[in-house]
This record gives sequence, structure tokens and C-alpha cells, in this order.
Amino acid sequence: MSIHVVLKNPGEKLVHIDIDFEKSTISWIHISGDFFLYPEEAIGDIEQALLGLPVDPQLIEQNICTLIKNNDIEMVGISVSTIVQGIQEAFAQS
Amino acid sequence: MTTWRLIIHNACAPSWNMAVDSAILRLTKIPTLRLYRWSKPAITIGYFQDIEKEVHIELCQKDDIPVIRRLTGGGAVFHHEELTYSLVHPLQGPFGKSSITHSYSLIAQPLIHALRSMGVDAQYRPINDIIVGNRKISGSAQTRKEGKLLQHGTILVATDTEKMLQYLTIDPKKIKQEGNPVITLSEIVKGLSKESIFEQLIKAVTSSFKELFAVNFEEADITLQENDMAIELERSYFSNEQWNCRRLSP
Repeated sequence: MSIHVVLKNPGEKLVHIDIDFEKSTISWIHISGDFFLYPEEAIGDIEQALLGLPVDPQLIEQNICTLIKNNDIEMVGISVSTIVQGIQEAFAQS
Repeated sequence: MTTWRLIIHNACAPSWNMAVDSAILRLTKIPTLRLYRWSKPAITIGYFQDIEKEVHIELCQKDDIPVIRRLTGGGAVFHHEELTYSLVHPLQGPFGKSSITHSYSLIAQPLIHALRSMGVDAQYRPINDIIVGNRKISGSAQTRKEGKLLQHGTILVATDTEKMLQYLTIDPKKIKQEGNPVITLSEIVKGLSKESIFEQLIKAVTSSFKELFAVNFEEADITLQENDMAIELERSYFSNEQWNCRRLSP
């Protein structure tokens, strides 16, 4: 059963994170909401990059930031810290 | 002074409206402003949204309200008695070095100018809204592909906001506490019929773009190639349940 977390941080849009954990690692994640991300298809790459990672905020942040830098991804209304926060909140509920 | 193409479409089918915007984005080499209306009420959801989280699907099906996934991000929109604009522009000139956030504010300027010319005290609210007081009258969404930007957005004219709130999953308690989050032109501009408001708004928007971006307009329709492309995009994306219900690569 996946866990669902909704975040609305100041200056950002609504972000939904649906996530599953297996032995303290991310086994499935789906990020949705009314944010903007360019190019749009990069959202799938971000989700893919998180699979198998342990819930280590620094490691998660580092992985997303590397992907953003290497692929010229631009986020508007969503941030790396919001994604990390959502994963941590979901893990706390698991 | 550069020349932009101006396309004015009367009410078109919802999936066709989205397909035409996408076809123009793919094919045009000249900046194009398209103004259009909707032949029936419809909902569009942002590219990153989950349909079941945003829309009361069963009610939409019962009332024959199509729900279409946009190519652009942003939120769910109930389209009904509104003027929609879409701008496709190469990432050059005013948009060449402009960040995405900045380009929202740039494109908002002629829309605000148009609304103010009709006596509406409109203001830009970052990231992508235009408000009157604290109520939204216009929202926009942008994507960038193949060296071009597509920004489309609404200007609410006489949208049935009660109906809108029925179909979208907005918490009714929030509406009760904070009031109606949107406002329409017909609530503000008094003494004009709905059709006269549409007519004035189209004139105001085109002349505001002309003035603020220093452009000439050449009125035209979509090209044959754009028409063929739109037919294909409508079939494979915007009237296709797979695209509308699940986020797929555009």
C-alpha cells in the first residue's frame, strides 16, 4: 500500500508524492501536482533516479541535483527540498 | 516592427483546441497569437497532475464534461465561457534570455493592460496568475520545446464558477472559509452583454500585444500542415484516454 503525502510550501505549487518503501529504500515513487518542470518528461527520470535509494536526505538531494545539472532541468513551483521533505514525511508514516 | 500571425477561432471542440495549440508549437516558424473559445464545457488538467486527484471523474462522465491532459504543467481548469489565448514564440527577442518565471510576467503584461483598458483592476500574481482583488481572473501555463515557447491561458468571461467547483476536487470547506477563488469579467464589467464583453476583450488583448510588444498582426488561419498535424495529435493524444488518464511522454 503506497503512502500519499501532500505538500504546499510557501511560493510553491501543490505537490503530491505517492511512494512505496521496501527495507527502508524507495521501491516506487510518483510525483504529481500543479507545478511546472522543463522538460516535462524529466519528471520520469527524477522518479527513476530515486528508485532503490535509502531514505537519506543528503543522498536523495545529491541524486536529484546531479540529474538537474546534467540535463538542464528547470523546476518552477516545486523544489528539490520539497521532494526530499515529502519522502521523509512519507517514510515517517511508513 | 515584427509581424505576428493572429488566429481568432470561435468555439471549437475541447480536444481540438489543445491539438491546434500543440500543432502550432510543433510547426510554426512565426510568432503566433491564437484567441479561441470552447464549444462545450471541458476540464483540462496539467501535465503533471493525476486525474483522480483533481477531478470528480464520475460526475464529469455523467454530465459529458471531457477531461483532457494538457501538454503544459499547472493546475486543473474548468473551461466554460472564457477567452483562451495561446502564444507560440521562438525563444528569441523578448523571450530569448528570459527565464520561465520571467516570461510568465512578460506575457501577463499585455493581458493586464487589456483588462485595465476595460476598467478592471488586474494585477500579476506570480507565478502564473492574474488577479482582481485576491480572486483569479486568468491563469496560464507554459511549455518550451524545439526552441519555442507555448504559453496558453484563460481569461474568465462568464464562467459558471458554481459549476466549476462541483467538478474540481477543491475542498468545499476551503471555499466556505476563503470565498470564491475566481472572478469573471461579467461580474466586473456591467451593462454589456456576454458577447459584447468577448468582442471588447479580443480587441483589447490584440491591441495590448501590439502596443507592448511593438508588433503587427496578420490575421490568418492555421496552415494545412498544422491542420493535418492537429488531426493526428487530437487522435493520438487529446481525445485518447491513455494520454488523458495517465502521464505519458509528450
